[in-house]
Amino acid sequence: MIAAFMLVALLALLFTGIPIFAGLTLYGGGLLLLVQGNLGSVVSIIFGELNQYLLVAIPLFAFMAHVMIRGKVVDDLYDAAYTFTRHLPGGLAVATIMACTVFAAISGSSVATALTIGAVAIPQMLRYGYSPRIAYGVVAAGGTLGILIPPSGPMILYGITTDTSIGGLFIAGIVPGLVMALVFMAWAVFRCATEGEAVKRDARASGREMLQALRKSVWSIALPVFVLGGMYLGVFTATEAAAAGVWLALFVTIVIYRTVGWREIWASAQDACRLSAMLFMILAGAAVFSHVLTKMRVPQQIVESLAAMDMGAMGFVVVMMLLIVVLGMFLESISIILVTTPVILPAMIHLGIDPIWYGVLLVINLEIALITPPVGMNLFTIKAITGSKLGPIIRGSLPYMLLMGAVLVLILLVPGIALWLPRTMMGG
Amino acid sequence: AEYTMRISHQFPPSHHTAKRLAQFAKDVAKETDGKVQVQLFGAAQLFKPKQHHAAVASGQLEAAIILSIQWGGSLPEMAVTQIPFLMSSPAKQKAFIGSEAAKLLDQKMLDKGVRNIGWIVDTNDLIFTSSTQLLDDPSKFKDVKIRGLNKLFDAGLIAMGAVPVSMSGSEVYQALQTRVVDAALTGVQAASSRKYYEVQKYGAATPIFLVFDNLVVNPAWWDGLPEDVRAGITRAADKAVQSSLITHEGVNPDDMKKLTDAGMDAVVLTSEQAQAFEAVMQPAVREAFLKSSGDDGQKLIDLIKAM
Amino acid sequence: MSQDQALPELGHDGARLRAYARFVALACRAALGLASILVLADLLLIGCAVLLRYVFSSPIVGNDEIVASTLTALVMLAAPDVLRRNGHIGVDVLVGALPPRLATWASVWSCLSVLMVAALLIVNGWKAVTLSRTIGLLTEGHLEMPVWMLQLFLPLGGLLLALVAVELLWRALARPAAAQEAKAGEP
Ligand code: NA
Ligand code: NA
Repeated sequence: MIAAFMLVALLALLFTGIPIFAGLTLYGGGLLLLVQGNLGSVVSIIFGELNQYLLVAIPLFAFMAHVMIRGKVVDDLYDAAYTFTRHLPGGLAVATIMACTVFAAISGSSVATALTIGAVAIPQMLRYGYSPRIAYGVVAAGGTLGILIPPSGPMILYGITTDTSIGGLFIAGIVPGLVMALVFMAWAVFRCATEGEAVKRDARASGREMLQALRKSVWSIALPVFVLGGMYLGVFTATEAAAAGVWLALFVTIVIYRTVGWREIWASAQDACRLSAMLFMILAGAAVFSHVLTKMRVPQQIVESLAAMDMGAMGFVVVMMLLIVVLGMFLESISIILVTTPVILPAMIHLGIDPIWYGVLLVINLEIALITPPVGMNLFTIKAITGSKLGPIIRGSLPYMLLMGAVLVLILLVPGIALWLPRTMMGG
Repeated sequence: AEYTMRISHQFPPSHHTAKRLAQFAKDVAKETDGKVQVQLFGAAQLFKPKQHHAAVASGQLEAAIILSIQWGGSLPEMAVTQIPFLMSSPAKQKAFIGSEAAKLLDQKMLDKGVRNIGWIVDTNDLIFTSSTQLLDDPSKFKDVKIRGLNKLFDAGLIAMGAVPVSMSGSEVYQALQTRVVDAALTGVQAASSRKYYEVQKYGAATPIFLVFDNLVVNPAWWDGLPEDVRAGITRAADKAVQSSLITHEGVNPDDMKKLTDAGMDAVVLTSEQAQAFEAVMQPAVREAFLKSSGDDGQKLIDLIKAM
Repeated sequence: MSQDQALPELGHDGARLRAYARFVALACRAALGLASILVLADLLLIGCAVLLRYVFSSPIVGNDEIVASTLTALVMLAAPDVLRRNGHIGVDVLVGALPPRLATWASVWSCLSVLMVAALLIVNGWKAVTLSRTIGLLTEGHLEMPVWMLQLFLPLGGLLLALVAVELLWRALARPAAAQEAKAGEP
């Protein structure tokens, strides 16, 4: 009851339109003042949140995207994608979801995926006549694949917290990730085919046109191939892959395209800083808020009381999933994992719930959390790169929220979708 | 309860120290007649490991677990436990609890704003894992890219010719999988719980050094507790420490079996092999230790040798 | 980029506001420049780390530690410029539909909220700096940099944010007056 009231109060505060970072920080600080009479070390929580090596992937990938945009590499890429798909409804939307899927195999973060692909894809989709709402929804949802398709930051954290095989979790994420991508694509095609102000469709391109387009875009296609290859051949780590991507983008734009010089590099670096500042300030605020909630033991007590109920394995998982949908509206993925999993782990073991299955369900739920308002990092990411109002972004994402929910239910009912591949490959 | 003792730690629920702390919570309630309620915040959900020192020193928390290997340069004397083979035997470890050396280090921690009330043993063994060959001799470390431990211990790896790579914890599994680094080192139990056997073929284990999970409390809070409450908590903490002491010589065979059952080519070093490691690693780490800790460092080594 | 949109016009506001805005813009741009240099430095550092490790088998020591330590600075130095361009993300669903008068008060409230956070960053941040100095906190890793030096960027960021928030507040309160003046001047 008190918890519900607390969340509604936060909702009200955020709806006054103040910057989200300010809202979360002040609300967290205010609660702390109320409960313990002083602000304690709120700012050191912010410092701890920001002072993390892994976060550097965000400014670097933003940098890469802006170098590629300024270097016009992206135009060629999307011209090629358009040439290949122009006779299909929602062709570019499908291409963008594919790009998200490939990028998800590079990055373990959904924000990085939405940020990089979104900065590149949204202006191009708008250029080809897609409505903003469709473009936003495709990227906001497609970006969430970043944490389901391996590598995945949240899966590593969940694996460490629950003693579950990280390799197993990674493999288990592949099939659901691809299913999800296909569902997104199917929806995008359906949506574009049925929408009144239909996106213009041209005649199918000739083989010659396709070849030409392919030749022009070869460098932009080579980039993810190099980065993926370098990662899986062990040249660099997942985080270093971001820097490798920037270096490659710089090479292509400076040496091959000759479209980028110092001025463009400097401007791209500034863009990267601004984007990171917008997103990281929110992460910092979210860290303060969830620190205070954790300290007050709010989520722990809710989870504990639910875990103590006797409702069988399936009932338990369903209730947890519903709870996480609610928590996911307000908390950030990392916090959700840290406050819920240690508490429910004993019950999970007791009920014989497969930790890999639960992990995949959890990660899909965290994907939903990324696009549910008021605190949805992917919504904010789209807003940061487009400057659009939040309304169209939320409305564009809404159908995907439901689709993710449907996939979640599907895997809830057919665990084999997640478990078949790891069992086959790891003999577990 | 009249008092709340919030303890933050970094361990997942299955870690033995996490379980020991759950027991500690019950013991404290019993020993203090319910006057103190212990609240546990595990898995680094409240603070990150490196924030524990400041959080306890400033009174944001009543207590936390700080690993003896986490102090680094801010309390270099604590690193004495990391000198290879200096105090890793069960006998030395038992003698250390309550010793002059322990008291000296307790005082050092107090000078840094936290009071230590429990030397809970985390582990005394280490396993060198690798994807290419069994690292059972110092000569095999030449040019091996290995994920290091910390500045001090890495001096011992460098002495063997290895190339220690520093890398954030959450990147290690994948880095081992794709072979960005060839080798790693971790506790034998951690090699199981972190699933190193999935990505590393070989493992060479030996009881090489001690890691303590120190239970530290905010001094002002502690001093403000009534005498009997303090005594009750101390009894519970002592029980946790006693239960954590490692009694078997060498490496626990059960821990090794978990790794070999999972398909890892894992062995325990023979005493000759271990001596070869000691001969190369101990002087290098000791030298680095003395360089950063000075006179008190030498005093600690002398005290421990005399135990 | 959306943030590159022109800043709101100053209208009839005084020369003092104009001068103050110029000063704030200068400070923000300098800070953003520093942040951009940090991004480039991170890029260079990680690139060298990969090259050295992979090609020459000898890693840079403490590379991850330096990169991590640049991020707080980067955010604190870039956030003020974002604020100046009204780029920080808020839930605009309700506020977007407000009549102009109420919208002004909403932006005043928004500025005040940022001012409060800025104050928090300055006061509480300074406390964190002092504490880290007293207990001698060092960064985790090989370089062992003093944490308080890195934490200094928090009060610094707070100071810059406060400067910007004051400008925005000034503008928000000056604009209705300017609008009324303009209205009175109409024939
Ligand atoms: Na991924
Ligand atoms: Na959300």
